[in-house]
Amino acid sequence: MIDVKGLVKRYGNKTVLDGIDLSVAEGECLALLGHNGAGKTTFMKIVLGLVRADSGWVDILGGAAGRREARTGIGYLPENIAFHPMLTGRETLETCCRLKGRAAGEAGGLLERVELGEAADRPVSTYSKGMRQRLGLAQALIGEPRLLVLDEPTSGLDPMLRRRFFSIVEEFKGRGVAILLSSHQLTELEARTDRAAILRQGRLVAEGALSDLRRQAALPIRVRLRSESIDSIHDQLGGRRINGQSLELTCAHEDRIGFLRRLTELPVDIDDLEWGMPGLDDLYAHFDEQGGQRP
Amino acid sequence: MNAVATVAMNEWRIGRRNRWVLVGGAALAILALLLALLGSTPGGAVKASQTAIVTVSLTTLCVYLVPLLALILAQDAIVGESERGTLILLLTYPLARTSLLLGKFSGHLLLLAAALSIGLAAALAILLANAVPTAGDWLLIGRLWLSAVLLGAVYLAAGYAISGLARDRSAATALAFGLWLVSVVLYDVVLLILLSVDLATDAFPWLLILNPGDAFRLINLSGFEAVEMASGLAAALPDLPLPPHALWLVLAGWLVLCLAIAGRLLQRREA
Repeated sequence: MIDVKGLVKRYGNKTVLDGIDLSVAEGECLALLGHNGAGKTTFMKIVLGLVRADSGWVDILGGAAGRREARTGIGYLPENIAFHPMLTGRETLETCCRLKGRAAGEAGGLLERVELGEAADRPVSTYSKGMRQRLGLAQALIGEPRLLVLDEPTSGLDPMLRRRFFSIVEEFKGRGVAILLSSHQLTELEARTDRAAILRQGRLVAEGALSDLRRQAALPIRVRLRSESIDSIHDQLGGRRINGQSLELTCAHEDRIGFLRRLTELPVDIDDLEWGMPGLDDLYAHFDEQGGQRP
Repeated sequence: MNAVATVAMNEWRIGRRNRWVLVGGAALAILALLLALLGSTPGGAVKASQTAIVTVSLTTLCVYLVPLLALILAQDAIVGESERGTLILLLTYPLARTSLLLGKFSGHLLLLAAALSIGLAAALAILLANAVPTAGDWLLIGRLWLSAVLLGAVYLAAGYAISGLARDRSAATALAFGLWLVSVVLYDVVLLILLSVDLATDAFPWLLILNPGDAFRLINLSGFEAVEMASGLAAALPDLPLPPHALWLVLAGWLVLCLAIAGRLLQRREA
């Protein structure tokens, strides 16, 4: 769906994207991570055909970015989505449907789907940020898209709406739709993305499935134990005492099985155990820092 | 419905809802009414019909007001969408940028034509109250309306070019006002100064017809003896290098040129 090789984009003397290789397959979700200005939005704009790359190979839905077939097959939700305030939600979505070559009648179903059915005939100027974001998602879903490009899609949504938003995205993913999304909400992406790509100052510093990234980063796993015999465990395994009954330990990723074995062989009772794998935010911080140290 | 019609319908809807037609039409109507009322009581020894006198007054009114209304409407079309963040989404749709421009142009032209119709209808009501217009009178009013719409179309297209060029909305507003001031007000003043000091005398007729506002004025003030008499045009103007019908082509030429420039600027604009 997206196949990009050696992508370079410069604005004047500034290199915004520097030799990016990335791909997103059918039914796959790739999270694009990076600080503001890392090149995420420029990458998305190139995928959408809004900006031309200076060099590199870009294949979107089997051809050049920005051609009519590619634009018909892509649903895009920009960061800070805006619509004309004078038009109602229904009028806005009907216009979007017609511009995508679809029947205006599709708008009603989409509005219901994003739970805007009751507000459909109110002007967009009366909508909250969350409602505008849902209207934005509805327009991105017009016409059975094959690729969804979502730039910070959940900013401004409350936790319930975020959950609903991702359930719709999951449904499309299940139908084979490829998804490229960027977000600063790393924790919520963790369970919902297949792969992550971390950009830093226009360079790709890490890319892969979360399990691969964990392996590459080799960040320690945090283990928190609670026991009546915490002093004895502390003497044998070390670690950091949290309070009278708890202890925090770390173990290397590759040693996790051996560590578990050592725990079970302890001659004391363990009341509780919390196993903290490095999260996406830990991985992001690690690779971002590593990328910054490279020449 | 195709993309041009969809965009045009949207613009029409927005223009109607934000009362643009009403405000534009009311501004034109109030001024046209005043002129029609003044024109309906002609004094002195001018042997001109009431319609001819009102046509002259309305022509002058349109020369100033129509470009201003068109520029107000068009200068925000591209840069405004860009600043509001709505342009980026539109450009990702399977919609050619030319279609977007032509759609906006069609919608705005419809709004402008509606406002002009309201304005001219008010003047027409006064004329009808006083006398039954002749076929010639209807022709004068029809010609005025049609040429005013064409003049508006030229300035709409110029407004899009400004909107495609400007970095932000305030720059677009300043450029639009500058264009109005130079082409509608200052251009004629400079021509008159040049003429009064015997400079550019040979080029004067050409310089006159190349300005869209003056071409519009000449279209409406020539061809009918009564109007020429009412405007004093017959005595004041040198021979024109082009026949009056060709003046329509001058306006059409400006329209095509400005639309082409606006289209080029929109193609090059990054969302």
